[in-house]
Amino acid sequence: MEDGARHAQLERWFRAYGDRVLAYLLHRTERETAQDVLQEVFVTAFRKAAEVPDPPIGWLLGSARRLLANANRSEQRRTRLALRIADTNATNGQAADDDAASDAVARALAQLPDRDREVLTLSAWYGLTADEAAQALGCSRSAYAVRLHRARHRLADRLRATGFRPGPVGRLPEAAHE
Amino acid sequence: MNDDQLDRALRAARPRTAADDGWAKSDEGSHAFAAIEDRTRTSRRRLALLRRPRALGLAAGLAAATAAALVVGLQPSDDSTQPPPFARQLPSLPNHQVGPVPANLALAAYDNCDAMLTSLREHTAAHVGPYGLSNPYLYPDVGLLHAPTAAPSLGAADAKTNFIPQHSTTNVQEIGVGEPDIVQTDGKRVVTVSDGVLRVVDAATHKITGTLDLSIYAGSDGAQLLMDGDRVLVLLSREQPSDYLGPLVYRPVTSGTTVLLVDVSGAPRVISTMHTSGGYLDARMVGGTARFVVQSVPKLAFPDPRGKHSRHELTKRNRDIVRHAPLSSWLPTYQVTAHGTTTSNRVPCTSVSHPVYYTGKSLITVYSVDLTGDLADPEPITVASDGTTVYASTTSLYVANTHTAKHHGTLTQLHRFDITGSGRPTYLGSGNTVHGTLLSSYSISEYDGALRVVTTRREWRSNAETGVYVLDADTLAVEGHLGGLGRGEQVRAVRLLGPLGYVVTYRSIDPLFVLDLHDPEHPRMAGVLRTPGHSDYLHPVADGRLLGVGQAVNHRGWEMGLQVSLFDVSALANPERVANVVRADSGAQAAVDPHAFLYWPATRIAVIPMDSWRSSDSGAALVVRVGTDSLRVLGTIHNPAVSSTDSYATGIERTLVIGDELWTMFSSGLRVSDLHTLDRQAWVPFE
Repeated sequence: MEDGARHAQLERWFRAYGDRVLAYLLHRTERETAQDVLQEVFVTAFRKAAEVPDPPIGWLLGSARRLLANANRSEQRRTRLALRIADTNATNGQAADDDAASDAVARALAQLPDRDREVLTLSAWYGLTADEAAQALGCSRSAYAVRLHRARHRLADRLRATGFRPGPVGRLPEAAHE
Repeated sequence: MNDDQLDRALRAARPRTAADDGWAKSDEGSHAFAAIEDRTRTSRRRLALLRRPRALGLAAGLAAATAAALVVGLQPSDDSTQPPPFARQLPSLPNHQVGPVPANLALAAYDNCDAMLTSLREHTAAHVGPYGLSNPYLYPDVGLLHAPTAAPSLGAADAKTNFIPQHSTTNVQEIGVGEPDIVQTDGKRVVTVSDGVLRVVDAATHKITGTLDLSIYAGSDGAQLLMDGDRVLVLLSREQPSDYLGPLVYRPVTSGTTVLLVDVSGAPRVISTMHTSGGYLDARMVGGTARFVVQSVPKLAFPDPRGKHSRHELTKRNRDIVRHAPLSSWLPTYQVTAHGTTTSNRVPCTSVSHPVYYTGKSLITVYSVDLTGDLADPEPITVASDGTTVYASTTSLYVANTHTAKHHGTLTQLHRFDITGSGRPTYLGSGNTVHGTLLSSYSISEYDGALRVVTTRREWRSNAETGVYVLDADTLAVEGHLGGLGRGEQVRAVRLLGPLGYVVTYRSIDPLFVLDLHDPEHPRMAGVLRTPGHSDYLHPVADGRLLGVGQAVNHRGWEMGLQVSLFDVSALANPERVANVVRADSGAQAAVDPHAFLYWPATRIAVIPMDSWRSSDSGAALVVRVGTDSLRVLGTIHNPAVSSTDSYATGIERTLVIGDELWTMFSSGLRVSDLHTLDRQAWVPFE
């Protein structure tokens, strides 16, 4: 591909998916690292444009995941998604009962192993399709389905253990991304 | 609960972020993209530039190193005409701004202040871009929230005893080197800081004898303490983004470091204070003299880059700003209040040095304070470098600078300071640049004239590799290197103990590598043990055993809960796990902060604060008796003030032993327990 076309493609990708990649990073690290990694993700996408599938979101998030792990270790930042979820929810000014429900979910989520959280949030928070999520995790689609199934089970178990009941159907916040 | 309900609940729990409202299409988004595009356009040019003058660069490097050595009166050794030792083992490094440094000891003092200004301008200008000095591009001074006056003391009682029971410190890496923490004790008193309040608790009566509200100072919520005699040094740092300007690029970070010297002989009283702009890195204390390391950036104001100018124009403009900036832009400043007067000071240029290669983007300053004196002269010494990790033996303090060099991945360089004596340290020099990143200060250790550094080289997990470099502590030249540990795995724990080293890497099982470092030139892997799970913290215990605190992992690689392992490492070639204890659904705080761990050799107990979501264990500490070949759980210690289900924020943070008592510090209070029965003796609430 011509350089000009590659740059145009990069810009398209950024405008369409930059939000989601940044949100993914902000959920997992503090802003300074998020901005560094975001930059790295798109620079890498440019350099490896030939390997990047279309739509690229699965590849972008997978790359963000790896680069972030790299950055976290090199900076010795041990911020865990678990902590950040609890944090962010505590400071978000949502309605009180919303909070309580979300808080229970956030807490349950925080208790799951990292890989369960990744599997669960890829679809629910960043709207990835099964194919895209499998790309992000670097596994097959069927492996993803199995992992998702198990992660859901474990989340449900944790929620049940805390006495959580699903709220009314109408109460779907705008947070349902995309 | 069906999948739909679960997904709905999950979506509802998604925290909102700054990226959610069409950010990529916003102004900030465009600027972020501009920075990305900039890199995609320049990378190839830079590559071409780098390739060509490699030989030239090395020559220039040699010349610079020779010149540097002459400045300080060192003769370049014969080695300086040879490639540095590790160049034979590793791909070459860039020859500008980072090593390899052919001279054995690469340091330089400036000839005079003018030469220094010229050199700083040149180096800084070389690294300035359209947005200033990378990211963040501006650090204004944050200052104190209020004037540094003595804070009011609330209540005090004189409770002196002559008898000082045997006591522990909080867990430290090197015996004899104090580390700043949220609790300190001298056996008579326990001094704690939590939620911005310093408290002095009498160890004999279990009563709070005085408090000091630190909340008038910026950064009080992250306060750390060092203690010597009746004096406590309070270290406060504040580093936070200023007003929200969009999540990317233009976000000035304000950072400031405030240090208070507090007398705790009676009611806690602030004797003197010091404030400096720049971020607090870490501190160490040897024999009553504390050294704290602050990283500052040049105070250069670059105009807002948003506008019509091209990035090239912006860079050119910023370079001009750097080239005309006065020396005062670089020299760190600090304000001191002692004896009722406040003075503003600047580090004199005679106290500033630089390694041969440096970027001029930031400076590290080591301040020294004798806790029995005051902060009137904190004896700063400055080196032009970034700093990321601080390590000290009883005689040397090292500041590691881990940085990324384009096309060479991550590199680490160590700067050494002589801290024998109590005054201003001497900057001894900067070492060969080694590949990779450090896990923590535990990755560095000085022993018997050798400096050992465990690093992980890794651009991607798949090609991660951990190794140890052995440097001559005097010349800081690499003498030996052992690589290839834990390929494709992440390093979880490092412990260097005397002539031996232990490294835990992890993917799904936990190889514990035993390193034999007796021969600095030939570090070797003496043995390896593979067990399921991983250890995140390693601690030497009696009888040549090593205790590991980490996670148990099932056959799928899922973390199952806290695991305490006892390793027999007496036979180097054949390390064995002789016992382990698993506590399901929990983790150890020591995995993140080794200060949270305690081992008390007299009774051979280990106390391990847990994070747990099992209500019976939540916020509790696990107490384990460490036998020669056994681990026995003696019980758990809970916060008596709250119901155990509500203890996310009330868990145990630290443990100390004083006499026959086990003190556990919660954010809400101190519990005193009998060391043998673990029965509660007292509860000292923080209110």
